[in-house]
Amino acid sequence: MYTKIDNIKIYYNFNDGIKVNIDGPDNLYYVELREYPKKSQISKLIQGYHITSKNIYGQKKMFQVDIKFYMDFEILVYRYDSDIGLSLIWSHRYNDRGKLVDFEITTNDEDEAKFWMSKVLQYSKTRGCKPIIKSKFDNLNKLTPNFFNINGVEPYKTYKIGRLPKSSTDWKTVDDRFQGVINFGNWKSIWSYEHPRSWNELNSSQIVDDILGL
Amino acid sequence: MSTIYGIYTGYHSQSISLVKDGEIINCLEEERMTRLKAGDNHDCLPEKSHTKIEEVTGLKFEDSDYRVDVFPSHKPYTTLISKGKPYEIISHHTAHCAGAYFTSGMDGKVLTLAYDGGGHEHLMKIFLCEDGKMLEVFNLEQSTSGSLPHIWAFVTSGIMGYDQYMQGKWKMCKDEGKLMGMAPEGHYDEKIYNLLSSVIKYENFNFLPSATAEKTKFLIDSMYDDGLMKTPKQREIISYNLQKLTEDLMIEFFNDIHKKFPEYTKIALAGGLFANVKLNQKLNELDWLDELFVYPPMGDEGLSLGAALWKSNQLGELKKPLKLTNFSFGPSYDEESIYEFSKEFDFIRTGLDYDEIAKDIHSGKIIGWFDGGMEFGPRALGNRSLLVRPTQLETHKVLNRRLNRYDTMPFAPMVLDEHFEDLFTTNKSKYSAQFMTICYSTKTEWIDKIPAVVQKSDKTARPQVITSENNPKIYRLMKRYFELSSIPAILNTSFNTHGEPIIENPLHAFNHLKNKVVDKLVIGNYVYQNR
Repeated sequence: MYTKIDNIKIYYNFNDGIKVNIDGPDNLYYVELREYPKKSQISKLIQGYHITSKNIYGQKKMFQVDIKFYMDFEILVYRYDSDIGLSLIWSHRYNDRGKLVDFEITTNDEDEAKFWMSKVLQYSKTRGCKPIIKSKFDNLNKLTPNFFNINGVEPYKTYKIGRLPKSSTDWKTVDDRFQGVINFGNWKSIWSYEHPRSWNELNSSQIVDDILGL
Repeated sequence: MSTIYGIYTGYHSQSISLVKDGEIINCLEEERMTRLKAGDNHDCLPEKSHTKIEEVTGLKFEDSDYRVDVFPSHKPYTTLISKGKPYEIISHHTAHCAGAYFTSGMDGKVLTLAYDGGGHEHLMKIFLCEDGKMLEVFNLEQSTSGSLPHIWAFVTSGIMGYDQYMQGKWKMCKDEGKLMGMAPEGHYDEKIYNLLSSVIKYENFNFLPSATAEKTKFLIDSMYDDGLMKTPKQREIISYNLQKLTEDLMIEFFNDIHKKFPEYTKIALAGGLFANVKLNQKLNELDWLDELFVYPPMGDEGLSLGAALWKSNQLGELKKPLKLTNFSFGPSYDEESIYEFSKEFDFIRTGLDYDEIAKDIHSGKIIGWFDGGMEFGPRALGNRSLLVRPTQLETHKVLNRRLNRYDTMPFAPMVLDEHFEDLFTTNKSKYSAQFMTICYSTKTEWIDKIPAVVQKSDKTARPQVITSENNPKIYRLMKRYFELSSIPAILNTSFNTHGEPIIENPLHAFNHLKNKVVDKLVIGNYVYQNR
């Protein structure tokens, strides 16, 4: 997906974490990810840093936060204006209403897959999105109305539901001060980019609720 | 009656302190032992200071009655040295405020505030304090509020550009003082002021927006690309406007605090922002304020002591703020061990003659002064100091050359207590001025008499009040110097070369004598000089 503001193109993608990159005339753009905690109208910082639209040594070309589970997040993009300093040029709050959303269910247990699918449908109904369900069980996948009609269409967001291991991208967990969790903005700690909390301590229902924010 | 170890194992300025029966026994910052400044050695652990303090006090960490760590804590390390004994972890800003309040010497109602670049969840906390009790009434969260100290850190890091590894040529948590030192040479520039304002504003008890660190880095890198910080003059202008912005926002904030808590006219401060002595001066000059106290180890190095004092208060052993005569809680060395250190060198050693040293200072010699316990906090207060005459501006060149310092970095005076009001326009908050934490405006008639310790543009100085109680030896020396020169002040700068932490032990001092950084070294009751 992308949006165009004057001569600046902002590309964004939520299918494997949250990614933003920008094509525009400025050397640098500042991108910030914020989250609205439940029942709050004040957003909190998750991550922010600047990226470049050009090949500049030492500068990142893509803004990326690998969190894959549900968050009520907002992305803000600023450019530098030589007269006023930071200038907000675009913001986007997560909203999957009416959009195709991919749900990848990873379990070998068909009953569990059915249960998680019911939770997916609950999520889809609440949020008004169009679900695409992918699991090992084709009979279940075909029950979703969007299954046959998605070739070549990029989903707005992809959720992975399962007992997913910590990955090598969970680099922040190596800092002992974070006690094995990933820490953002000194207020939000997560167990991994796939799970807000460790699935070892959760039952099947809690795992899917955690991932979908139910 | 209890022994309490406070420890800070966070990201920089790690330290350890011991409080016993409500009294401060020993405090030590890791950088003094590693010999790497905190800004050059982030993420280390207080291993050497922990070992040293146990050696000095004879009390093992695990054998103390209580152990208190401070967020953000390196739990595996604290757990390791606790050897199975329990320990508490307290909030970063609570420890800052406890340190400030319980060393403020203030009676009655005291508003205590800590503001820094963050620790755990917060950027700021305010406590209302009275009769030894602290009540938290306000805080700012990192995730929703902005941080002036972040702006200082990232402007410091970016203002001189970056090296080949994209590291700032100046270091945050280390070189902010240099940036502040440039400010008086700049001037107001509306555009620069507005650019800096785009990353922080104050409104209704909040500093906005959040993510100040990241936004400032973006802004500074963009301003650098825009050619706004290429020349020394441009950098001075940025520094001036950052200082002005800081003062403007904080004065507005403190005036709002006063409206909310009008009965609190005594303020105690801690946190990295208040290493800014010019800001402290502006706050001290607020007409509604009766007294200001700035915690001498105002940065994160002071957290370990704050934590231990907090616990001592919780136990009922520390019932009211301490009034201290010094902050020399670091290691000290007796005559015998000093003599042992000196055997490695071939120096001339004579007994200390105050008249002779006063004459040396009067004639322009640079005197190294090593005496008693090492100071805790960023200032050398007469125990690990270099003493020089304040009367000649040319002194700067000699000192800067010997210490490898930048010429923008100001020097500060020690001033005899009884002459303080002769030299400065106000004597408010003199207790805090014993620890060199506030600037004062110099009276016109003294500006040309002590040019080496007066900022040449704004005519301020950062004095340290010397009394016969807080440093009897230095007091005696200054009296002699005054008799010779009619000047009740001496230039005091920290005993270290640029980029090196303040010296800790006699060996460091002797090495500086050997390398001719100082002309003479007074150490204990002896004077050493090269043959």
